[in-house]
Amino acid sequence: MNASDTSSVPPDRHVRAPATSASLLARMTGSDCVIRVRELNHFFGEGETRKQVLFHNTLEIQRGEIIIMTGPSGSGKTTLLTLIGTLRRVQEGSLQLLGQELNGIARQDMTALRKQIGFIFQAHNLFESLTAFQNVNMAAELVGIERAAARQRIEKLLTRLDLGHRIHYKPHSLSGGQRQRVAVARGLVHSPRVVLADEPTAALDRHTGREVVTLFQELARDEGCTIIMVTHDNRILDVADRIVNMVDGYIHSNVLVRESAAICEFLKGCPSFADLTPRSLSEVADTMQAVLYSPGTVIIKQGDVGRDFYLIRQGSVDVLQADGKAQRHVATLHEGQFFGEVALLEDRPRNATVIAKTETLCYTLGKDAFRDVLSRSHTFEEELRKVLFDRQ
Amino acid sequence: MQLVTRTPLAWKNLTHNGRRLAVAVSGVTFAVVLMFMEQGFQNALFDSTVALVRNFTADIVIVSSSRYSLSSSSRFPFHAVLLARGAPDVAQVQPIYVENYLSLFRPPHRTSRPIRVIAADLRQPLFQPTLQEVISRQASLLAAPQTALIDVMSKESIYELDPGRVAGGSPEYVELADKQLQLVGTFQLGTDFANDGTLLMNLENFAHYFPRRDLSSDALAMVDLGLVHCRFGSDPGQVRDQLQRQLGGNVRVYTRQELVDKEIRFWDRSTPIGIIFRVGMIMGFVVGILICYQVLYNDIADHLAEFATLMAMGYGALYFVGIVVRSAVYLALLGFVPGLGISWLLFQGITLWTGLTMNLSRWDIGLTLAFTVAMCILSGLFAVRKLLAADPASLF
Repeated sequence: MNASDTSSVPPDRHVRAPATSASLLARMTGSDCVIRVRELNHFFGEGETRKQVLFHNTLEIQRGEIIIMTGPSGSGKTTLLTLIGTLRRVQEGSLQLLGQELNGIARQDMTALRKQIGFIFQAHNLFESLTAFQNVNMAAELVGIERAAARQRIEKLLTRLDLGHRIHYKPHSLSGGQRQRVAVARGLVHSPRVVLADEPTAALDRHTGREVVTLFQELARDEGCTIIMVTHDNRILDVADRIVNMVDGYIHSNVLVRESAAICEFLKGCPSFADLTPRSLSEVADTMQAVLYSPGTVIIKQGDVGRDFYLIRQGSVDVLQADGKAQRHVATLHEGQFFGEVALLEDRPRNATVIAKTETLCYTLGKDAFRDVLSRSHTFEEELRKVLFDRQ
Repeated sequence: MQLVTRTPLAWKNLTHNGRRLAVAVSGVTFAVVLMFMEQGFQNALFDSTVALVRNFTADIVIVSSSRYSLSSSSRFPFHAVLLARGAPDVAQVQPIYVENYLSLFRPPHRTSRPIRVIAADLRQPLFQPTLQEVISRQASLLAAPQTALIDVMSKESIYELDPGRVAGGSPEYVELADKQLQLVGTFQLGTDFANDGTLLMNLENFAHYFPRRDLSSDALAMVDLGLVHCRFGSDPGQVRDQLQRQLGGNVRVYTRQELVDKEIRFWDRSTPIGIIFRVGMIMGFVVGILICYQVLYNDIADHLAEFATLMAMGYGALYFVGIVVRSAVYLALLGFVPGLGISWLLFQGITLWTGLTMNLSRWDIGLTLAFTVAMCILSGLFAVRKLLAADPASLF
């Protein structure tokens, strides 16, 4: 799946997005978008040696999300990170950070924006001449935190990171892991709205690494801080709300971890899907598209050719069947229920009309993908028929 | 944009590595000493050429109008002295005779060398108190024929005679212009570009040694300098103008300070000497820039990742310029203080050694301090370009 699909407006003119990207769900739940990347291309070099490193990247990240970016080296994930962090100039496409367009941004706006970002680099980059406290204070001073408040906050952070007894030590008398934690504190002390971290736990043991990500989670939850990490540390994958995988400059997958789990849960709710392995289930989840319907929209029309299978993520729909002249209300379906499968299973026109009752978010699966899933589960068809029978 | 942060990063970075700081400071110190030495030598040489004039007490000095420098030998007729004596507001006019060419000086069984011979009516008070006191004390000795005082600063290496022995109280017999001369005592004046030593004698003795000076039958007919003392309460400037009008175009009349300034200006502007010292000073300045640049550049290069991190955090260009300029100023001040101390010690040594008096005015010290700070800031501004080129994108 290529996330660039998001921007293409489908013929039926409904807003459409990958099911596991947070955007549509966020729109319904009212979260705000902190980072919006659209059709971003980036090139290194000039003239003959000019080489494209990012292709049509499109991504939306909400306030308070924790994103883990993965991908092989050279896949462009750090390039995307530096672009988001205003450390590189946007060349093509659009990148909005905290509501500000970075393409063509003025230098002073950029410097102001940087103060709202917390950077945690893989190399700690601490000044050897300054103590841990002073190094962290460099970030606090810049945003003008009042002296006593800064002192309190720095001491709290360092203590929290197990450095309470080393606050006034210089880097040369700290271990690698301790220096890394000082750098983490420096990246967080000024309450940034976005944290960009590169392997923040690489130099840390299990305990302190966990402490760092717990801190990230608290910041995300309590202060609405958005955190984007590049990491290969499997121990911390569980904190991610979303995992963005990049390959060769494309966003290869962009999976809302919890949403993916939620879809799997819904799919598993149906006995026929229970037979699928968790891996197949999450693959199905990742393949699904999200479509948002306003109330009253005809989602499928009786007599049309069936194209998709629908799972209701949020909202409810009315199912109507035309019986001669009159149209009869058959059922109302709610969150977690699905429809539209009969036409696909039996390859015949739609046998009912489905209309959105409220604003409804559906996850859809194309006919081919649906059939592909069917072939994996011998009980699926059978179970589905049973469900259909029960519904009538 | 916050220019000054509470964390003194510039100072901390500069002083963090003691060994490196020592190297950096000694580099600046070296440049400072270089500049001070040039200034000291220049002062010593300029001061020495005017030491004689400065030691007079006269308000006004009359010289020949073709005398472009004190070391040249253009003279004016004695009759101008007589004219000047008659002028209103003039208390006294004394002729001074100086001979540098006919005055071959030879200690027994040694080589002849020219020496400066100064003659005046030594019964009159002509000199500044310190020198006058020394001369007055020996005035009775100088009244005798064929006697002179020798400058203790006269170069032993040139004249093969130790003036210190004379000072120690043992008169020396030497030859001056092929006639016997007894050195009966000493005084202190100093050497300069043109003169390696000086003798001081009475007018009668001068006439004895140089009877046919300037192809004239009267040895004292042609005067080198006319020293004019004004009447108490008169204005030397007015007296000078009046004398100039009265004496005509063959002589020039200067106040003593004017003559000093003119002489220094001559050596500074009309000879390569001023340029040599200026170039020397500039060399010191340039060496200082190179050393300082090297130090600041390396300091930046070693902390490039850290500075780039600050850039990513949102510190602006002005902050970094501030950091480097502050480092530069600290470096300048840290290097200046020992530079001044070392220069002072060297000056003492050189004075002992060469007879040149090395002096630094407060103005010279201020100027060198300004140069040192400028030198460091300039190299800092060169070095800061390296810092501003730091790319925070390279940190990921």
